[in-house]
Amino acid sequence: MKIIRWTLLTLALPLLLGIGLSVTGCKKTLEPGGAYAATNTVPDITFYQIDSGFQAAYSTLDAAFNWERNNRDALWKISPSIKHDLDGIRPKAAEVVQNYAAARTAYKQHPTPAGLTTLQTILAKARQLMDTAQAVIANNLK
Amino acid sequence: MSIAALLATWLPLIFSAATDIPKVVQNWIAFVKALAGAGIITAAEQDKLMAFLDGLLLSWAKGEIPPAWTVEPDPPTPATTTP
Repeated sequence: MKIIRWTLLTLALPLLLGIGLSVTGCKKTLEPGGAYAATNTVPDITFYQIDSGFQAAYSTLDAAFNWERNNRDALWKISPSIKHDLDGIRPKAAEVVQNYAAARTAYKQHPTPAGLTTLQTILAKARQLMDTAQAVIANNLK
Repeated sequence: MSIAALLATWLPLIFSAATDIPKVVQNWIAFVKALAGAGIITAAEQDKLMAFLDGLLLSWAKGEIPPAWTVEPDPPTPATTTP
């Protein structure tokens, strides 16, 4: 009896998993009533995705800059170019954050497709700087 | 651990779980429901991201730039000693 049940179970589990995965897929939607419904009458998924991407880029840059600053003396002895290369990114990154802040405020006041495009352009720059910062650390610590 | 010891440990556990099929199926339905909900970003998650970025960008707009984001002077290079 146990073996029959076990066989049924082993047949049922992949079926249930398959149904689960086919139902869910990778689609993301915003629950109504959240903060990203405030800019438009419908939840603004693109704005949410851009903000989410910016948060990730910001956090990575922040982690890289803080890591170098907190370990500056030790890293300076390994390679002064770690600080120098990150110093080359710092002003650009700060400018990107300020540009994003301004574009985001403008978009929240007047949500237009052009505003979203501006935010996407700034996000692309932030991601580029994030990649550069990661490369600086990886290349100097080889 | 030998294969025999592994089997002796795990097989009874697996079969004891398998006997309670309704409970296992119930757990799987709960799992599938959780999977279905994974594609939806809740209002609380949205509010959290919005509040984080609003606060962060407001402090930047006020000129409160984190020290790690500014270019600071290089540390002193240790003097090289000559024998």
